[in-house]
Amino acid sequence: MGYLGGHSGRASRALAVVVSFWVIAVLAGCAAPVQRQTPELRRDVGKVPRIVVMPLDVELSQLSAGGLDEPHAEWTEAALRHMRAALDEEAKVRKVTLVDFQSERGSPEDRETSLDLVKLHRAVGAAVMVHQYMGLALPSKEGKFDWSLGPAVASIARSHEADYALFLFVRDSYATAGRVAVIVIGALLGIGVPGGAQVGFASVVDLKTGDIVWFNRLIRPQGDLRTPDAAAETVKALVADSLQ
Amino acid sequence: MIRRCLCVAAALAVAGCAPLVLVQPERQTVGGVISVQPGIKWNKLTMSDYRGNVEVWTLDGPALNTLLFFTGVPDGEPLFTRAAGAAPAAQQEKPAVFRSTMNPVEVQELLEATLARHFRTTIVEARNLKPAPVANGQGFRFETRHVGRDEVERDGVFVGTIRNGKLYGAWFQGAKLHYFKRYLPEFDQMVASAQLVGDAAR
Amino acid sequence: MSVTRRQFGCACCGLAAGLLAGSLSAQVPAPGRPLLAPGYRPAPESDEKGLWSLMDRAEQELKRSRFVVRDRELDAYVRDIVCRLAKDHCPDVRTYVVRTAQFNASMAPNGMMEVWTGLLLRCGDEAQLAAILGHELGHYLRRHTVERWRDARNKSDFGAFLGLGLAVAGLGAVGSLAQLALVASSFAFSRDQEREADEVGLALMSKAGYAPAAAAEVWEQLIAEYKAGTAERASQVLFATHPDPEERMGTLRTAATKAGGDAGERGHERYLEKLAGVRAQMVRDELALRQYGRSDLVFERLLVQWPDDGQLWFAKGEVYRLRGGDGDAARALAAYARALETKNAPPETLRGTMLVELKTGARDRAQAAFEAYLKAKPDAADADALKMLLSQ
Repeated sequence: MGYLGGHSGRASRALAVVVSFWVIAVLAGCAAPVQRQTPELRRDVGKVPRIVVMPLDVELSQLSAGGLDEPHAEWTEAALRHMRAALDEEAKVRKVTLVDFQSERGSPEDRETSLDLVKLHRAVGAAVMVHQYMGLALPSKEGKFDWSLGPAVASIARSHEADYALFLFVRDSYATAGRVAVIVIGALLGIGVPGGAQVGFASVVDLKTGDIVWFNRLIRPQGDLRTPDAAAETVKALVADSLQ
Repeated sequence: MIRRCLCVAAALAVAGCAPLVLVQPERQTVGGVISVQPGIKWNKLTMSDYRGNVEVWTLDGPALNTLLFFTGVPDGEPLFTRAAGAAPAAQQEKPAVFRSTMNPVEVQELLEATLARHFRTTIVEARNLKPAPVANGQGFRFETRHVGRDEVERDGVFVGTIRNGKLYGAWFQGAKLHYFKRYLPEFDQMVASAQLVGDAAR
Repeated sequence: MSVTRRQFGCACCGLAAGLLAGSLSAQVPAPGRPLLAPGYRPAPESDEKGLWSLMDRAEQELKRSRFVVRDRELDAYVRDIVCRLAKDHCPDVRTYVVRTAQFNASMAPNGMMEVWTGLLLRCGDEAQLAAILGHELGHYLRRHTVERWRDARNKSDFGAFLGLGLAVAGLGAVGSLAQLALVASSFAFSRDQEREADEVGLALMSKAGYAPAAAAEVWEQLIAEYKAGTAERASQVLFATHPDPEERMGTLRTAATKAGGDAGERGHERYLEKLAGVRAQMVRDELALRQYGRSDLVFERLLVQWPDDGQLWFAKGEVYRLRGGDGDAARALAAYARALETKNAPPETLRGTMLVELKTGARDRAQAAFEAYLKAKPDAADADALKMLLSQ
């Protein structure tokens, strides 16, 4: 989330943002939103795949007239509830078992490592978004999707007796009426004013290797995550494909 | 970070330059003074948070690992500073600087202070300083560990030497989980292949 | 995700606007306004509830942060001071000691209080720490943060209130609530709010039996330290949130005298004892900043409080050694020597001595210092590194 306060460079910033939205629109067509390494999750004979749902990293915020991008607790909590419910629905349909990540499970070292992995995933997820989807490709990768959390994921596999881990990351910002007014007036004056952006991805990690075997980027518009239907739709769109 | 990179990508798309350039696994000259032979493909960052006598490479993106080459830090200059405009006012105090008369222990302390400032953290430490052969001469090597504001623990290793009053070297760092260990052998073999050339060889 | 770089240029105009805004604010507190009630919870549908939920989640993240100092005795000590000041509000407050080498303390509306190690390093006694904590409790009990947050949301130019923007920007975690929580609880307070917090803080101090004079002292020391540095005022985190401390000094000194002046507890020895476990680390963190003038002033002042503290003389020596300017070698050696005369010189004093002697070419003395270092600290991890220097 960025704080857009301050007077300096407003015009050039607006220009940069307008250009960036254009570039993203163009690039959005190029990079497929879904990356998968394996055609389907491993289903060992006789066992239902167990997937640990890592703490959903979701923040809904409100962009006020003055550019204050303020996290909105109620919306976020509602979105989290709806998304979790939608995940359970999907899991039932796809016949996988979902287990909530619990930070107190496992040995002290496993607990430490698990929390470190959550922090690492933020960095890895951000790197994937930037280098895979936002036009800053790493030439050395030659288009290959080979992102991983590494073998330390065994700590999560152990403590939760699971085969995969599911991470969800969403940042979504909604403009207030005041902000919408600013945007509209800005448009009339020919100035692009940022309306708030949506960033989101889901990833599934193979807990045997640490490899991200499935990664999906959220493309707007997926709907207003403050409503249960849109939250459910978003989860389906992000995740359903992965639970095959 | 995501938003900032968004705008960077846009600005560059307009300007027509590439922020990330492929480095082939063949002999490379960095900054005109350090010659190395990478064993795998790398990416060179033409834009980064680092300013000074440095060149920055990465494998998985700067959030996960970076290789910083020190291409001749002269007496009186800091090892590196933050790019202007990205630095909060707190960074307007003068940074610690390299001195030609420094010994390896002092260089180690200098990197610690530089990392503390650059990553705005108190959790930085360097250890295991040892002599090491560097570019057909005597140099030194030590390990680093730091935790930045993203709470990700990172391991690192610095190898360097002082020649003709300037510091030449490289610092490889990566997330302790997976991203450092995985490529440490590649860094070690690059160090073994390193030569000082050009102005550094005089 | 870090604060956008565009905003960095504007801390100064933000601060100025903040000061002006303060005097125009409709939130001027009426005298005798009731304090926040103990056990207060915001109404379920209120905007304040939203802020609380946000702070609660930020607190959950803070709990897991690597920057929180996990020293049970220190934790208990800080909490005890806060409880002594807060009395009936004690159960509403949770304290966290955070490892940052800057002077700052802040309190969020949900009762979460952060105390940075840079502050703990600088306090000369328990009463000075109590003064700052009391001041922050004053902001909390008078709900200043909620007022400022509401102001900020209503005004069309938020930049005017984010006087802290620059300094804070680098201090929060990436893409997280912790950063926001820090910013949200750190809006620049208005002059009236500052005075009110001073009033409440002094009242809490004297009721708890502390010497109120400590309040004026600690702010004066901070001002002196700021003047010794070269950075922008906005870089001093505490000054960005508490603007124009000089302006308050006259009033504060008078009020402190009226509230009892020097009469009351200082907790001088107890403070030194309770911080013993983290002292070395706090000194190292301060030295790592390489702000020699500022650090010298800090240690100089602390030596006035504790003239025979080996840790502090060592710290002074390190400042000179690291600065390495004209005459600094001699100054460093003198400080190290003074440290070695005390009862609690850390073994690193000998390491520092060795490094300086080596620098000036006195190899024999360097060798002797090295041997003494090994004797004092047989398991020194850097023994091999130092040996390498001697052999070159």
